[in-house]
Amino acid sequence: MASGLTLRLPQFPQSSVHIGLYTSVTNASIIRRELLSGNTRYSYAFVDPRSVFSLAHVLAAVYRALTDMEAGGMRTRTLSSEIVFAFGGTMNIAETLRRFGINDDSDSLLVVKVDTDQVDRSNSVWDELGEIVQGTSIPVTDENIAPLTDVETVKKNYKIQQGISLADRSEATKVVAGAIALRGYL
Amino acid sequence: MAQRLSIYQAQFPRRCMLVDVRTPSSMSPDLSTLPSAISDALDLTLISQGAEAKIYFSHDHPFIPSSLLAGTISTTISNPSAGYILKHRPPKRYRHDALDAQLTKHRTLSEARILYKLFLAGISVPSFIAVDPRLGLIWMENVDGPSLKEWIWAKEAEIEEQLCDEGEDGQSQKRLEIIKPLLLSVGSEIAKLHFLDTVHGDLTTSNLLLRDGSRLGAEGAAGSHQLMVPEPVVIDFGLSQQSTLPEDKAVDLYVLERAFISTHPIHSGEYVEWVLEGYVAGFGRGRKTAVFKVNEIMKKLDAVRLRGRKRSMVG
Repeated sequence: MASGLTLRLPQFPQSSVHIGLYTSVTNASIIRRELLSGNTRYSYAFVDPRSVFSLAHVLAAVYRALTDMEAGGMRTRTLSSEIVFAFGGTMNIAETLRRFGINDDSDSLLVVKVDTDQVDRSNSVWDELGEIVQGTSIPVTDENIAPLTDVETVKKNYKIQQGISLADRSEATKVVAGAIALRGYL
Repeated sequence: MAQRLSIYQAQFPRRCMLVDVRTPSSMSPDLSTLPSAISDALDLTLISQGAEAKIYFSHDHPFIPSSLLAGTISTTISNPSAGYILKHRPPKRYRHDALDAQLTKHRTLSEARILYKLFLAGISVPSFIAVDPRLGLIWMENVDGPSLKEWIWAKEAEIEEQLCDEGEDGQSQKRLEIIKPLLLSVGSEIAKLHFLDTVHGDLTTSNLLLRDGSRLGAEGAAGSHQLMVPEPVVIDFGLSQQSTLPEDKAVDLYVLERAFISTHPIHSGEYVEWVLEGYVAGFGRGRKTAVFKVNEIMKKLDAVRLRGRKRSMVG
């Protein structure tokens, strides 16, 4: 049974971050519907990989959401929605969730789940996700994320100005991670 | 605490450890003002303490686990082995609470924004990673290398040692070959900053670090072809502001000039001349409107020099 990546952010050693990557997803519209109706089984952050550059990009968003949560400053209702919101560079929640979150036409998905308690749930996370997502689970690596990125979509979503090149992934990650860190402050 | 040092820290210990990590009483540096959640989770070493902020070094990235740092495209900085810097503006008890909170938040944010914008504009600054304005924290990449101050001291000592018998001419020629190209490039980097209407506010030779990755010397330096010089990185934007005024940029340059005179008194004349040469050449990259602007700044610099400290306005 394919599984994803589980890791800990150095600044939050108590929390486990589970990341899954799925291609050939067929039931995006169903997942989205359940998510919007508040089905608690779907308490994951579903992100459209078209706007994702790298693992570091994902971790930057998770970090922003976690630090905001620790400071009592979350702007959405759950940590999962806060993670998706963190991807965006603006304070417009609805717009960010639409642009970076799961869409009806999403054919691949990046899924994040953060356990803030110490309980080791990594096995059940992949089982549950396997039931929820109708798609192929692939290893969560930069090599696998890269082909899914749509640079034009990223440019549009982050309102990247002319003259800033996103050709080098490491530099591009710095650009988006900086925008994530400075959301609401720039 | 951490005994692992970066390559640069092993060579230049003076800048690195204000707290001598070898004695028992200093084995646990004072982290009492850092939020305990952070100091507990990460291995941080105090490396510098200014009036306003404490600078900590960490081998760990705040949100990228070390297992991933080795991968090339998953890193947010180009050289993970150099480590990371956490800049902390602790609360000042002598200030009124509300005012202190506001000041800390504002200065932290201002610095973080400037770091990010300068990076977007292509200026050589440490990469911005994360910020917490409320707690006064900024995460950025560490620049693994000496400050310009240390580098000049080291080179001067080297030249003196190698050519002590050759006399002043030989040494002066060596300075031209080795030090001038770097100072030209320093001037050029400051010019880029000023061209973006950003004044640093505290330009000294300690706030200019040199990154190990070399690049070719700036154009115009005699004998600089094929010579590799380190890349200057501007740090510490805690006092920076946006300004279009030539006066403010001239003051910025004057502060640097005074810094050279006080820390490198013997050859400061040459050094300042070379920095300004690089500045003028690099300002706006020779565009017509830029030439006019930089002349304005140079004129203002002459005026500021006349004004300066300990200058008599009599006669």
